[in-house]
Amino acid sequence: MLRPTPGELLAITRRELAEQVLPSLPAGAPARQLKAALHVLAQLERTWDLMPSYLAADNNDLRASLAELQRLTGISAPARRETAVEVPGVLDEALRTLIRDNEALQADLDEAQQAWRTSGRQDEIVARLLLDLHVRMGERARLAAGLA
Amino acid sequence: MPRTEADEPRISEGVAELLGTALPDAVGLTVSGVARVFGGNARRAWSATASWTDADGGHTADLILLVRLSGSQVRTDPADEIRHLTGLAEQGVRAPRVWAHDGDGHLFGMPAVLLQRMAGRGDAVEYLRADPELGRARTLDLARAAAELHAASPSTGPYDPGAQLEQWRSQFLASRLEPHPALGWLLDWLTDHQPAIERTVVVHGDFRVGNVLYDGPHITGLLDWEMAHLGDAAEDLAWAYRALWSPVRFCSIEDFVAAYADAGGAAIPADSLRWHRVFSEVKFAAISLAAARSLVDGTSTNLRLADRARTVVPAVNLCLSWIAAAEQTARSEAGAAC
Repeated sequence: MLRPTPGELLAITRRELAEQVLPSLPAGAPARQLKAALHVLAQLERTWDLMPSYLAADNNDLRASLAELQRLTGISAPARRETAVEVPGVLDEALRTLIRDNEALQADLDEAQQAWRTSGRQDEIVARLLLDLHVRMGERARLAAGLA
Repeated sequence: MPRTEADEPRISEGVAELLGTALPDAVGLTVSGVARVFGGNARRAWSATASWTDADGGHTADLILLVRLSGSQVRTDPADEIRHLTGLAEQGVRAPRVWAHDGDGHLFGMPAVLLQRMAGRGDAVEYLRADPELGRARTLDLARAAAELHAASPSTGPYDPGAQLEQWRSQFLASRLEPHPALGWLLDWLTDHQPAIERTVVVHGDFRVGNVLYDGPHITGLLDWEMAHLGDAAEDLAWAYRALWSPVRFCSIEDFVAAYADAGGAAIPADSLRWHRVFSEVKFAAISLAAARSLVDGTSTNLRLADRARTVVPAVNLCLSWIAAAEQTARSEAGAAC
């Protein structure tokens, strides 16, 4: 079963709630909650299927950048973490793996940049590598979040 | 638990009891006209009017009661708000008078403060959609209001910018739902690039168009002092120009800072302003993560918080772009010097 796609279902649900339910609610907390829910549905509609490709690209960049950071600084990547952490709300095993890997790689980057800073050494190339990596990650996250 | 509309008679009793602590000589103290008003995401609010008699005669006061919500993304100590806010109105700052506060929450279930209800309209959307000429006049008056605040005598106590950064780092670490290494990197950048502080002042801490009352081109009141603290004046100016609520359509941040200086505020160096703009975004990101966590944890039921984690992305990206541009400029200048 392919149709309606999850994106179509989200769009239909949002449309009907906006056109049928919202107008019948008086101003107040329930209407504010529904408007917020409609906003979330619109976000999901724009982004529901972007996460796998976003995470795959982010993970590849993180792995390559961490390896380059290790080459430049000699700071070793920490031992791989236990990856059986909970991933609430995700049923697909491949997507769960991508999310777990991304969280672990984010943590590795966090630790590596902390270790570099704590070392007190100065190196413009390392500084640029970290800044450029964060800029690329931010741009990918922006697209994946459906932000203009 | 916070009280609801159905609790208004008890709100009235609570307000009377709280105000009575500040007016020990009052006779016939009554509270009327209790009504729920919008108090933001972090607090519930009620307006009310109190009347009483004392040796000077009859008095009437318009009041606003603010009761903190459980699960609030604002994790400041309510006692700090009271400490910094008390006495500002008496010094000519456009701040509400503090009537009384319930620090332990025994009256309303959560810490509460009873303030003077100030005159004016408070509508950020209307403010930001104003006619350009009116909006500019109002925004320049906002700069003057900031200068008045920062000219007021600071509360006692030292200001340690490093401690403030560590407090926000702690909030970030406690709230994050994933590592967010870019935010950790930005916090390190802030720590390593702290500007010199010319003078410690009382900083509003949430100084923006959404927290003001206005009447035509005049700012009549500064609201929502939960995040008030001692700090650097540039913090308020930078926060006022966060992208989400910036009045830049009316007035550039450079003109705003110039108007602030013309009104007696200190000159703000460009690197200090940039540092505080980065700090503003990082603060906002930490608050957003706390908001997102409160919904995930179930300590808040406000669905408007559902999207807050996503707002971290543009905040971080903006900081990175400012830092990258500053570093590019520094490299160009160094190259030219060679």
